[in-house]
Amino acid sequence: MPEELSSRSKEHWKRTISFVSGIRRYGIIVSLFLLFLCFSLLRPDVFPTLGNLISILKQIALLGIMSAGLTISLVLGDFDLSVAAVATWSGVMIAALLPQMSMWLAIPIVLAMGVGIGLINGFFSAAVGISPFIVTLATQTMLRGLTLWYTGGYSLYSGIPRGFIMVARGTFLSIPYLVYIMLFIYIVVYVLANHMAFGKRLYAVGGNPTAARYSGIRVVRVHLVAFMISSVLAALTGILLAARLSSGQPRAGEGLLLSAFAACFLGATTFRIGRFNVLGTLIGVLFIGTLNNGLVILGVPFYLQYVIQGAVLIIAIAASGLARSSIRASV
Amino acid sequence: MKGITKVFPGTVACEAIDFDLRAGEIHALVGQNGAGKSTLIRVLAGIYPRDAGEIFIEGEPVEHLTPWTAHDLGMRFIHQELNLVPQFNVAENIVLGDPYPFRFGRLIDWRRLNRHVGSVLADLGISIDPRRSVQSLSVAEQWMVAIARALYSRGRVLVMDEPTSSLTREDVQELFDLVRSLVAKGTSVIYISHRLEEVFELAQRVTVLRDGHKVTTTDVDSIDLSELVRLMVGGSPQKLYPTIEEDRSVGKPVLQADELTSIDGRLVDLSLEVHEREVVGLTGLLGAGHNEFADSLFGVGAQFSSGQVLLDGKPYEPRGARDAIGRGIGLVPAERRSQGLIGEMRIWENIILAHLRHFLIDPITQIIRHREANREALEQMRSLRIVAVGPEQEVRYLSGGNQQKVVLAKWLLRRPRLLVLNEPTRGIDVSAKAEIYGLVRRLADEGSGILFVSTEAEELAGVCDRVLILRQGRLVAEIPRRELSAQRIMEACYGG
Amino acid sequence: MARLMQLRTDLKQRFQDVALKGGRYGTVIGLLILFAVFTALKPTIFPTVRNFINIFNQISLLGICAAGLTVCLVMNEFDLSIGAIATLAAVLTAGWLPHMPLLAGVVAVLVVSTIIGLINGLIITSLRVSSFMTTLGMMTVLTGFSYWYTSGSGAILYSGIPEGFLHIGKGTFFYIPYLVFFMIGILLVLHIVLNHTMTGRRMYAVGGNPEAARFGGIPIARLKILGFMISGMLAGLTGILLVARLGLAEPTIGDRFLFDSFTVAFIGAASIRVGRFHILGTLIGTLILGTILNGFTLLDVPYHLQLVVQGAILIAAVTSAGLWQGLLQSVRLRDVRRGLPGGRRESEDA
Repeated sequence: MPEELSSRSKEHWKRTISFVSGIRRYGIIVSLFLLFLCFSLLRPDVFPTLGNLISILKQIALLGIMSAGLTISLVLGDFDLSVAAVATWSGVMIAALLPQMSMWLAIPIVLAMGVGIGLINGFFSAAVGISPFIVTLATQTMLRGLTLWYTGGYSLYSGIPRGFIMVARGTFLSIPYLVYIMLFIYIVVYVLANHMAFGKRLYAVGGNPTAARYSGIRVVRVHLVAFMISSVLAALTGILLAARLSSGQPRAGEGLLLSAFAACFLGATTFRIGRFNVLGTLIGVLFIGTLNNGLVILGVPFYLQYVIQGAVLIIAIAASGLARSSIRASV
Repeated sequence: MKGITKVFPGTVACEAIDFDLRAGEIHALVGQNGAGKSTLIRVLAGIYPRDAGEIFIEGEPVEHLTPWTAHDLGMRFIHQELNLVPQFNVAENIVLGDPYPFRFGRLIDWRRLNRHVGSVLADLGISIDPRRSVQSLSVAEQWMVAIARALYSRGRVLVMDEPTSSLTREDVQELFDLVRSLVAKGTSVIYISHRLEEVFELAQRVTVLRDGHKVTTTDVDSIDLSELVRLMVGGSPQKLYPTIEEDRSVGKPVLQADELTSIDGRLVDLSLEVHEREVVGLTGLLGAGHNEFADSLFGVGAQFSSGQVLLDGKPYEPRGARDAIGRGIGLVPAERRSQGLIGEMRIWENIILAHLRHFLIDPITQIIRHREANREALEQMRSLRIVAVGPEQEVRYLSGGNQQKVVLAKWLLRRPRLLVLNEPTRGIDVSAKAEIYGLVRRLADEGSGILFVSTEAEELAGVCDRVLILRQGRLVAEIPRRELSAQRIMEACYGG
Repeated sequence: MARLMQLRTDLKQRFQDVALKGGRYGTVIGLLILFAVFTALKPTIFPTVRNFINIFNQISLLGICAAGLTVCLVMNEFDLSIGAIATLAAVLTAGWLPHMPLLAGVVAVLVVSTIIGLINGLIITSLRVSSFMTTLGMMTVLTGFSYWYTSGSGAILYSGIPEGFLHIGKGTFFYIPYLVFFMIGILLVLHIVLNHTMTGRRMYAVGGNPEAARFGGIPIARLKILGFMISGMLAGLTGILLVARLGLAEPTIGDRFLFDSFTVAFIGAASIRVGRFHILGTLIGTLILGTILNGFTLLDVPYHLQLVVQGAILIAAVTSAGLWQGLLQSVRLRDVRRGLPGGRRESEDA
């Protein structure tokens, strides 16, 4: 009799727990649908149209690319605060280089600069051992200074070829190039993180650096590569941003920092709770994009958009954070 | 405590456990790993909320138990892990959680604090300056500080969760004297240990847990060691050590170390050989250098400043785990959780982690052959009898013994030339131990060389072909198979 | 040969000891070097009492804001909302003071900022959201509120701020501005709280080893909430004093305090007690930043380049401290070995 009772109560507990964690795990996806439904009901004429959906995708493309890179460094617990400054810097640089050379030379140069900044970040944080938070805080301050100094605070817009601007404006099958670029980046980064040896090393170092070292993984190199990825994708974001704005603006990328972190953290609450993952980040980006788009369509003033975004971010993470805490207690 | 139940995702860690502690008694709590001892204690400490059951203290039910209400109720805990604040000095670590002495209202009176802590330490017979930084203390001294903290403000109940695992024999005796004097003053003690001889030495009553259930509570006098083991294991006690043929032939040398001295001076002129088909034990007292040698040889510890190592007759320089793995060395590290496993990765991912290169579709794209990796991991899980839902389960949800088997599987995936095991059975239950010993012997029979580093004389005598003894980093004795016994090893360690 | 080895290790140890002592004061030495350089370059302007008072006056608000942040950092928690709190406090001060008695207005703003800190703390401790995300979200929310509040009046609020209030920002006592007294008073109080009261020591325990703190029965959640309230309140005070000094408020006015506060707190953690956040260190960090900005302004270096130098100095300070900390650990290793059972047995043998 007691045996029976205990197995039944075991079953009951198991079921309760898997149900609760199931809800939490897909909480962001569910709320994305709810958000969608909400906006669709409020503005059925504007929001749920094909044109608007494409425009949401186009709006999130840049944020998406930056967040994909940031996800990689966050897996290691490296807070890369420099991504927005790298993007801004790259936007200004591409605008400065384009009048002097071919687009196919300028873009690799700017991307290489991104890789270089990533190397600097990685060197100081992984090899020297300073907290990445401080290192990237410092590099972002320096880059911001350099950008403002180089531009004198003004936008660079002369001599940017039409071909370059078309990267951001052009469409194929009525879907903007930007969306293709973003999807391509996500596929690459997803394969990298989930199906390649580097991905295994990445999650191993992120999970337990000592054990990773004992397994023959070169921990410093993994950090370096991760910083390089997040920086080069930030540089790409900056280049595309310049294409979209048809100019290099000294403050263009600043707004992306918060949203990129928000997207990554929202993403860490789905699929595998508490772990940064590429697919999750994509969902996070979609969530933020939909929210922004819907608020604009509803005509909410921009300052209220701030308030709602911040609140939604905290609520979403708190909702899934509860699940995380109940799991953490068992470890 | 009555009917304590604690549920974790997927498992019930404790179920309907009744436990009572009388005033002024030492009550031992024993059970294999995963039996629920630590969980029960953590419920009592208010760290885990209980899912069912009641707790009474002196007949009063305790409703809402948190770490600080537990503290207020006079319960003091020495947990498995050292819990010191590294930046604080000894005095502040000891007073942690208790009120400081004050002056001028709410300002801390440092002089009185140091004096008070100093007198408490003196009472306990511990000679450590309260103003020293805990980072400058030895591990044993740090444990003494942790113990002193639990005794600083006397509680009614003292709970000790494996306090002796890092202490030397003399320290253990000192600790026992201390505990007895506390009990004489009216404190009750709950004592958890894997070392059953300590239970018989110290406790009056013992409670046995198994698989989250209580088996029995009994007087220590009315039970003997083999009966206690039988209760813990559940069936008749199985054979712990494998049988080893007397005259085994060994193969050619795998590892030849010649006059190694490490940079930090913990190893001095150490020379040893490990042959194919041979299990060589390496031991010594805590800090003698045997544990450090395992890490250094694998390239993750202090480097060697002089001497040379030959692996299969060719020079080998331990520069990092990567080189070591490339040369066919495997290491089961001493700290399973912090050095051996990535807790939130899956079983199969952990198993292939050291050999990712062998699971790539091609070296350029670096894409992993998932299915094959999964299959090989599953094979290892079967042959090592790892109990898990499947290769997709995260290793942090496994019991200690199964986790250690995952670490072993990692190296068995590619048969190592030399497998170094550093304290492989620490904190593992009896049946998992037996399986690991069997596995080690099987691996040796199949041709690998094994360096079995351990501080447990018993198991070295049971599993090794010969045992080397270190003292202060120097090789002081070698005991061949026919002379091997736990007694003989201990004597050699202490320099008898 | 053996003697030679001995000599080598002795020399190495002596070098380590010197480096250790020097390293702790690396940032202080850096500050002195900065003073010397600026003095050499601008001997008539830089090293004057007036300019020193000026430096202190310039850094006073940053010092107050960074001190609050230090309390959070001591417990290993980030507060990214301080800049936004300062902004909101400034905007509210400029908006409310024309319609309220001075004291009531100031107190009301302080209460609002403390409540924001309380909300941060409650979310972090009870919902277990990381402080980074919580305060990031809070920062966004507050920025929205600041724009909202100012949107009716063309973004900048400046009219009707009482003269008496502005006097707080401009007045002096014995040539020393009130703001400097504010900063010194607050730093002193926080220094005493963190180092000489149980609350402060427990905050350090929470930051040093949260597990130990938890097992020791320390109310971690309560301390963290308190920390965020202090940090919120001081950020609010920073905003209030900012209005008193500038006589206006606009919705980006306090943003700089976020990154600057982090910079100086981390420079502080690289000074004197390396690897620990503490008020004295934060003061040193603030002074370094203030001296650089003052000196560069005197030298007519463009403001944007100052940002570059600021970043470089942060990395340099922490790198040098990191290197010294590496040495520190190797020395500690030596001590540990000295205390090991091996050493004790040696004496028994003898």
